[in-house]
Amino acid sequence: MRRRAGVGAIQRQKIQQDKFKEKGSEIQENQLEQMTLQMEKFREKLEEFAAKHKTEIKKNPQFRKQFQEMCASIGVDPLASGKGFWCEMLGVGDFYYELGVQIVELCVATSHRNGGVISLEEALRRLNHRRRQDNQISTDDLVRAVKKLRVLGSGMEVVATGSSQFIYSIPGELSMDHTTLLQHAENVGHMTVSSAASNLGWTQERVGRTVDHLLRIGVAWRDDQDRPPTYWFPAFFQQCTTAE
Amino acid sequence: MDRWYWCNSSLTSGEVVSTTVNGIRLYDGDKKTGYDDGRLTLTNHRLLWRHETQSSSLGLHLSLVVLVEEEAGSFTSSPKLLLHLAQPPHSQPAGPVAASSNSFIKLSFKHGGYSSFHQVLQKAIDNHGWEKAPSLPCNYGKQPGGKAIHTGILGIERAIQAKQEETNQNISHAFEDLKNLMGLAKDMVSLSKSISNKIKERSGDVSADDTTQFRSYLLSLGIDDPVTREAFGSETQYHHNLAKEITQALEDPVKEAGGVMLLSEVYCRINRARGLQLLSPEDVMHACHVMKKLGLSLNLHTFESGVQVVQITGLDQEKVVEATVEVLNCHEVDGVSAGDLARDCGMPLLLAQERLLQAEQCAKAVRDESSEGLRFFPNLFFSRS
Repeated sequence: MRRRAGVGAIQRQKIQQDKFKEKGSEIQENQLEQMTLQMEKFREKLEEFAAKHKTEIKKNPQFRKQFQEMCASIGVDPLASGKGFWCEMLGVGDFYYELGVQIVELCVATSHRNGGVISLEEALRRLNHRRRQDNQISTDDLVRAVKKLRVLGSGMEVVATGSSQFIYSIPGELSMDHTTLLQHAENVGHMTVSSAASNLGWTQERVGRTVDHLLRIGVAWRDDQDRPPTYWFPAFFQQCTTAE
Repeated sequence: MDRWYWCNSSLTSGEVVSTTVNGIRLYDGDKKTGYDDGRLTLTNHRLLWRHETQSSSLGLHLSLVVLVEEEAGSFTSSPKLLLHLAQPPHSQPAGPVAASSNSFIKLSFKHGGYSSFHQVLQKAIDNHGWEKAPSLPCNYGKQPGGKAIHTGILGIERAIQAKQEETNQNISHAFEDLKNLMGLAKDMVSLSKSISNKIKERSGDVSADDTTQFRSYLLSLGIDDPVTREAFGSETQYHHNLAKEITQALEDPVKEAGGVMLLSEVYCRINRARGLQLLSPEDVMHACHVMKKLGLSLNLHTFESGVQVVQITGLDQEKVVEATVEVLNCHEVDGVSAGDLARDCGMPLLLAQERLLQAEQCAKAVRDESSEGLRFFPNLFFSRS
């Protein structure tokens, strides 16, 4: 249709647009119907799948991981809601949400000791200790469960420092300086302000400020009996003892 | 070779296919036969060999297998399985060879896979499936008549490997099914995207019912759609119901905890109470968000640091601050840290921290930051000036 100037052309254009809109709304209705049908079909398929492989998901960490990755790749979050199909039929939800509860409880129980930072290995060990042999969880399971907990606002997240990963349950962000210092601390186990300053190439004042914050939130402990005072990090104690 | 007999490929009652493998040549003793490049099927009763051009199969009853040995392959030959056989019963139907001097046969695996097949074959033999008495995979030395005795570590190892093999097969089926399922889900994700676009472009033209239905589909599938989320929020009727449920379940515990409870603790408690059909963290958060709108007796409060708590509606913030100041006044000399307040009043550390910060914001408390930690004191600048 050639466009021409003039009122007539404009009117024609408007009529055309209205017609397209109508058609569009028809198509959209059809699309919603189509989606309804597809949802039904999907529900059936999912039920079949669940009947065959539900236990596989519960027992096999590899399979769970594969399942999660495939969901992520198509843009679906099977853990978004307990009301979702995935949870209702496959029971993936119960597995991860229960794990979430256990993680929160573990962090609360240990935070007086480590200030809210616990290594992923220690968490994994403690949680698996309570579970049956054929019901063990993997690192991937733990990371995913913590990711979901973030939304509760207690600052739960998994942070990688150096070679290992830690679960933080401290609200309020930790800056780059804090995490860098923690990374360094993980390697050495304990440090003084001057040792850290020389190793990291920072000023003593910068180290002091950073470690003070960590001290305040309980992630670092200070040994005043030492001259100069040394700083220790309970979250990394396990690493140090195993390293020796 | 005379233990094989002609049969068709149909299974008898109670017979179940275990596995199949291609590229098998049959050997009479050490001699190659003309039966090459066939498909070997293992059931719980027999071995069936068939070439794709033929309609009938060769069958070998598993009860005749005395011992199975492996022969690794070399440059010139493929790996083989050696089967020692017992005498055939007189009732056996006709086979390709009437009589053979060899009492063993070999199966040559041109395309490999002989080791895993061995495991499955061994398991099938041990099971005595043809006797219709499905026994456990490990029959240590119980069989008479010189069958392979599975005693000792080797027997245990074989049993474990057989179980693993079975698990692996289950997993590969599972992965296949998973792939198909995901394909279907992917289609629906793209369909939902196009519907969402339509909604975005023609907002106002789409009926409320349709939108509600669409949003519930998104919830069921776990698709996060920014468009509908911005326009309508994430809360659906489901969350409204959850909000009521949480309020009912946790009103008393929250009161007992001093009127305030951390959201993460709410999450733990409600899930512990439910036992099954647990709620996701997002469900709990969305549900608490709508509490205010619904005018329930609990509502959600978010502090500046991002900490979220559920508290009794109408919790007088003034009173809370006053209570905190009371505690501060008792410790005028040393000050109060978050840990102290948490311990004294029996509240979680995060909450104690927030209370002190809140008091500071109302100018009722002042802070002392040092390397000893963060401590709070009553604001004497105001009260005594």
